[in-house]
Amino acid sequence: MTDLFTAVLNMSITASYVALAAIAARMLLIKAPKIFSYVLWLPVFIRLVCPFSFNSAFSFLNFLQHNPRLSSGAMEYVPYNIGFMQDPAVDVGIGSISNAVNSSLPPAAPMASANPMQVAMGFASNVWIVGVSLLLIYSIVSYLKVMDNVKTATLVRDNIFEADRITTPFVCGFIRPKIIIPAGMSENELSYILAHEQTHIKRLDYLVKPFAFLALIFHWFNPLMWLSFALMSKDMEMSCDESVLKKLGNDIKGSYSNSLLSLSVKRSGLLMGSPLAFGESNIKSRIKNILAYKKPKFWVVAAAIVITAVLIVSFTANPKNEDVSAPITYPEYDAEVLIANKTPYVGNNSKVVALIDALPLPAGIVRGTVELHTANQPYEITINLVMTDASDVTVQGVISGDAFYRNSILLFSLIDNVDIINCKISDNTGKYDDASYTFTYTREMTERLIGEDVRSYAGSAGTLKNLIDRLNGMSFDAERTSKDEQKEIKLPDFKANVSDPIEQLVYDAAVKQYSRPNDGFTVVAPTIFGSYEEGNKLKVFVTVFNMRYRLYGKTLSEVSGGIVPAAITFTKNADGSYTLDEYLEAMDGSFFPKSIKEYCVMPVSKKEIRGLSDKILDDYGDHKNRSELLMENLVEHLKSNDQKGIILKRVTDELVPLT
Amino acid sequence: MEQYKLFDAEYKFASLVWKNEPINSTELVKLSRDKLGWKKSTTYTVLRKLCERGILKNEDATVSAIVKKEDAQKYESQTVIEKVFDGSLPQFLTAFLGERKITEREAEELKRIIEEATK
Repeated sequence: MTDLFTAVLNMSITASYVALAAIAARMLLIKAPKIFSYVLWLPVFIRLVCPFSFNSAFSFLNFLQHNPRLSSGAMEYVPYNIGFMQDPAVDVGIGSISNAVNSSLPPAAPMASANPMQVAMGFASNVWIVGVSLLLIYSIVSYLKVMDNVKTATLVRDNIFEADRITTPFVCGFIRPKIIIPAGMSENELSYILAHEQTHIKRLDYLVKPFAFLALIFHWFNPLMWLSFALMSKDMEMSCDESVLKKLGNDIKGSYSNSLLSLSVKRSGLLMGSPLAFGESNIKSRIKNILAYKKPKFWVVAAAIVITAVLIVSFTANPKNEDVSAPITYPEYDAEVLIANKTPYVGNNSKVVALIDALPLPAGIVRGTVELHTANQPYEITINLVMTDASDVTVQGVISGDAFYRNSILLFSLIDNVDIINCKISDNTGKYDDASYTFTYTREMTERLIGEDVRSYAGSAGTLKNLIDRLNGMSFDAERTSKDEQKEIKLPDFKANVSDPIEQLVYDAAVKQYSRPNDGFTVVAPTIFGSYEEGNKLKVFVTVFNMRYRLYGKTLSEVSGGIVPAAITFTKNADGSYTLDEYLEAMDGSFFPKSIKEYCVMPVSKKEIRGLSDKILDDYGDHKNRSELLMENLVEHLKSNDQKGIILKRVTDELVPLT
Repeated sequence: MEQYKLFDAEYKFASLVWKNEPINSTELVKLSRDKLGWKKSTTYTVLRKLCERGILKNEDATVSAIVKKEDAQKYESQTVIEKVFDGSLPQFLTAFLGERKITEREAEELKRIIEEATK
């Protein structure tokens, strides 16, 4: 559903540009017959319903500062994976607008189970679909009501019927359209009105309007489209008036206008003062247009045809895709193939080799054998590479190992239990004296570089692409040297010392839950929503911010962490102490709200605790207090371990002095 | 004497009966199709309604009138009960499109403009 909404959103943005241009072009064509303004709405309609188009250098959208991504012919301003982006960003093609929009988008909370943007997009698409449904139902009901009312309309002649409960003539039906006129119209008035309605039928306007309205329903959130629909309707009526005049001659101007006027005076007053009505009434501008109508001069028509044709093509075409060839140091990765070969075990020979072969190698390097060291930990992969052609090698940064580091990080992400990857390059060209180089990468290094467990990116092709994008923008050398030189200082996990016994229990349980002594020390910051005792059970509902850190010299880096709501159950012992029974975490992604609702029950009777899950979910939108508490606890922990002058280096490379 | 008010379509339909009564209902369906452009189901629906209101009667597939033509009267088409819809689009939309009622002053002004332009 979110994908569909994103597609509609992207079409809406393109259509908005085209609509603005069409409005501007209408001004240009003000002297020309209205039929030209009318057909200019066709590209807007195409943009609203069809995501794809052809590319052309003539495209009016070339004015956009940087072309939004064109994926298989569709303009993409709002990326489909916006919910999963580190920093959600749209590119509407005009820098200042994009910046304004982007600054209002919530960044991803890397540790949280669901990104705010993902939640926001999900919410927005729900609102969208509800709006679409309501409008569709409303329209269908209205249409059925009309059909029911005109069922008893009586035949006048041909396809003309009269009915007494309507005040305005209209065309009705899709396959065999009927003209329905109010009963009791004078023969004089009738002839002009019929000429008008018959022109509508001849030009298939009675089909245009419902389809345009259907498109409008799907883009209901875009006010420009409502304006466009109103203007399109006006252009349709006016050009229809003009063709009646063309057919019946200029002499009927007066009587034609008078029939229009008397029809609109007859209208009931129900619609008067409607806040939605704007500008001068349609009837006034129509009458003015009729009175001002002259048979257009030949050259005006000729010029209008040329201008309109050019505009339609340029409005419909997508900008020419100036294919900026990807930088050589950023080869194409096929995320789908990589995900398909994801494996938990380094011992899975075929998958591991398939992964290695799916990763691009720099020109002049070919793969030799692959060795899997799986006998005991640490598990290692050694990839033997052979240099066959040295000419490009230095240019492409092979010697610095960037390409291999990138590939290795992807392997660490996709093979769960590999610890070390060696890339051994032997020279077969003779140019470097048969030297061989080995680049060794460890999971530890990778996690320090990326700032989190890279396996978390291996969920889907979409998330993996985010990792690839991140790697693309990364400089490897600086990271590697600055951190590796420092020796790690091992610290114990955080030990809370609080007065509230329940809070103390929560701290101990949470640290125990997230502790991985071989991989840094753990600090937690819980928010407690309530504790419930029943029988000898105690159940505490919390949201815990947990984070593992490693200290290298004076630099502290974040290893991994998360913000996870949980229900912790304890048993009360005879001596008054408590033992931990269960630490139940909320589930990730779309199961998130449901899983919380499910565990918000009493410990023994399993009776629902009303309002609790809402409280937890509401609180989950903002992690500011928890982050502050985490920092306080971290500082306290460092102080109690006599660590002074420590600087925290965040995932974002931000440096925060702590003690 | 009580007056029976009929809508335009109902009046036209009743007129067919007054002119041809007594008439076989199958004949009436044919007649309605030719004169009014009605489907069979529409004819029977309107017939049923008028019978329920005691204006016509349908006995053994023969339709005749209970109320005489002189006692029936058409609703003035302008004193329409309640306008349910306007044209083929939902009402809020026609309002939005500026197809609102024009004020008397506007109407006068337009009349003047038309007269001037076509003098």
